[in-house]
Amino acid sequence: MSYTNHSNNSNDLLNFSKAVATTASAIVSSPNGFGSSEILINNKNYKESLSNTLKNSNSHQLIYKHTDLGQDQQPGSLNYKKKKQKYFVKKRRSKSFDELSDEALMDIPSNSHSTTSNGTGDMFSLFQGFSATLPEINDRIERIREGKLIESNPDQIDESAILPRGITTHKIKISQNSRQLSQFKDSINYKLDLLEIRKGLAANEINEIDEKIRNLQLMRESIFEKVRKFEQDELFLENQLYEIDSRMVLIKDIDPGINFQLIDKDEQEQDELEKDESSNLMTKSVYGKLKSDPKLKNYRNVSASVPHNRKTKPMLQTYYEPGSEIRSFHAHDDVITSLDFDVPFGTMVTSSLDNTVKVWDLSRGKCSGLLEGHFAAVKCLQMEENLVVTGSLDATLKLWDLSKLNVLGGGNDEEEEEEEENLTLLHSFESHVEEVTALHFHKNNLVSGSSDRTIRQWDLNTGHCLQTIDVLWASTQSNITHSQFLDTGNNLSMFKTNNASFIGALQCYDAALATGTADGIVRLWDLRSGEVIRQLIGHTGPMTSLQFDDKQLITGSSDRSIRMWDLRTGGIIDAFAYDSPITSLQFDNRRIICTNQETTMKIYDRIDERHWECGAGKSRKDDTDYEASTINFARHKEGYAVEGRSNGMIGTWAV
Amino acid sequence: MAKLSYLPALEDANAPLSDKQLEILEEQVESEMPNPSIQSQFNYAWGLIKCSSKKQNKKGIDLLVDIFKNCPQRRRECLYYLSVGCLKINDLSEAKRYIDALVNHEPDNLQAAQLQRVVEDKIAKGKYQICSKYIYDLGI
Repeated sequence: MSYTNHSNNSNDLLNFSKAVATTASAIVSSPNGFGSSEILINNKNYKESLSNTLKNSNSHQLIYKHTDLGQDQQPGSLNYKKKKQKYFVKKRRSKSFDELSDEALMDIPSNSHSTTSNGTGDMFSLFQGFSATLPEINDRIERIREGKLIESNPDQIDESAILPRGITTHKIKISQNSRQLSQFKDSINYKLDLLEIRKGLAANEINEIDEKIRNLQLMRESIFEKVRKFEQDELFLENQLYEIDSRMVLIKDIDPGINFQLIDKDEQEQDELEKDESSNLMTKSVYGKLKSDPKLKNYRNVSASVPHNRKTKPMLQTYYEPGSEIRSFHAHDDVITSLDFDVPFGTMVTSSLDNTVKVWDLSRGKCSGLLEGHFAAVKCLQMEENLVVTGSLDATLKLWDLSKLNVLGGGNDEEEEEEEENLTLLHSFESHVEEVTALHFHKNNLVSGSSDRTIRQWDLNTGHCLQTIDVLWASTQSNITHSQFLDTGNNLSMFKTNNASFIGALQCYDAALATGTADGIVRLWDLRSGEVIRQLIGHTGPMTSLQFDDKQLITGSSDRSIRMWDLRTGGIIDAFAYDSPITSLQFDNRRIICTNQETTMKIYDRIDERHWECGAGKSRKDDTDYEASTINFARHKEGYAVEGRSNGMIGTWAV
Repeated sequence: MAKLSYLPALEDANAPLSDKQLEILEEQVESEMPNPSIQSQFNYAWGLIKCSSKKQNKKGIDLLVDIFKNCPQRRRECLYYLSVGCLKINDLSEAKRYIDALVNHEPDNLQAAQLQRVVEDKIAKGKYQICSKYIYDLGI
């Protein structure tokens, strides 16, 4: 025994000897003579001094050295400091089982014994569950021993397995012995109690899982909030990048001397690009008549030289519950007639009967500018990158460059603002004599339909009208004859039935054009010849919307129906109808979204083949104070839908 | 429903199950993998605690600690089971830590108080033995 250690801690030793002395006196003074542990524990003095001694870490170590009790026994310390003593730490680490930290022991929810939030009965302890399970286990062992254990069929209720052992339905039926029957009764009651316990425990477990789901939901919400924040920051940075790029273009333009070589190179590249593009067009388009115009290059220059392709992709909408409202805000004072946007949470352009066209930042729900120039309300519009074309009731179409709006948006000077207007407006197309009701542009090719019963094709660069097609005349010229259609008189009256637009919708792709007119007929045109190549007849009311891709054409009409046509055969693939006239429609591979002047958007999930609706009329159905306005127009991209309502509200939804 | 006591008596931990029974309990947990129900886990854990082998007991404690971590509503009773388990493998300090925590949260729990007494008693006995050994070493 080395005492050197001890002498270092004479104080501890003093403590210790005190403890020993008290122990001795406690034992001696006990009435029984010999000390039992109980006497020791009951003696206050002993307890105090002993715990003082033991609490002291050094004397603790001393004691430990002397103990030769079982390997598993730790010194009975009350509060020993783990980290200071290597010896103990080592010992603790070598422990072969898990233990809980003191913090974990403190983290115990209160009221765990009271009924759970769902109020599903009493709470049983796990041990009760264990005890209730034991008889069944014994039962099973018995059965295995008897070789009776047949793989139980869940559909078939094995009555003998439910009843306690020794009891069968047959025995109950034939029993004459009241004592036996009461025995049966007792054992069945007992089993019933056990089942009740196990049921309660299982139900409780469900509650616990619900609780976990709730917690996960909360976690999801906070992370969702993070994604939202990141995406907003991303958007801001993207905009700054864009700003820098346009600034660089500007500087290059102002000081050509410095960047001469650079520009030279750029131009060369651009020439090559043009060549590339035109050769692409040659192969892509059937006749390759659509030449790329150098002037349009200038218009699109901003978007061509500045890669406006976003580096990052907004995806926040995919984490919303489908059908949930992302944002809604008051945009106009009157009915919203049309809208379009570039990317989810990006830029949106809206038009309304209040004669304004507004540009919006969707991520903030703020108006970032006005497109002023039309003398009447805009009926239709389309947005592609930074270019917007609007078609108005004043019979004109206008081409706008949104990037100009952005660049000079900070100018405070009134003159500057005027200039800005001029810069933003690239072109005005003025040949129609009545209101423009439909338009579509693809690449440099703009096609518009008007109430003057003509379709006009425009060159986006020059603003020149390339051709004018009189719909009625062209239709009668068409080789495809149709009895109903030859009867022109009847036909005209059909066109005039109600206030519907003569040309309700159109879409072009290279030389292909599809129009939907008030007579309910879909016409497919060849823009090179200006002739109708096919008519799709089926709708019984004015057409209001259409869209096609490489395989199919989907149309919506005032006759309340949606029809899907096979572009190859011209036959109908599918059709369905809603309760009210369709006003707008858009589809992608996943879904068709249309509006029909009701308070919800109608969505057809093409993959799940499921119809559902989304909108304020549904989400706020229970809110009696809230009167949802009818939805006039909707557009969607990548699960992000924007709808415009009759009261000038805009709503964005995850679908 | 008062037929089954809410918490096990200490003696219950010393009555081992048959191998067959334990096997069935283990099978039950395995059949529910990867997300075994708390009850099945506990059944197996308690079965292990009841075993006479210390190795099995420790495994049972590990499982109980898991339940404690995963299921906040069961923490209080788990403290009791843990304490019994630790007492059984003679880890008195752990047993005391657990039972003290339980008694702190539930001062009215008679069974917990009883277990606390048992644990303290055992510790005191141990200390007494240490002391007498020390006294003996010092040659007093």
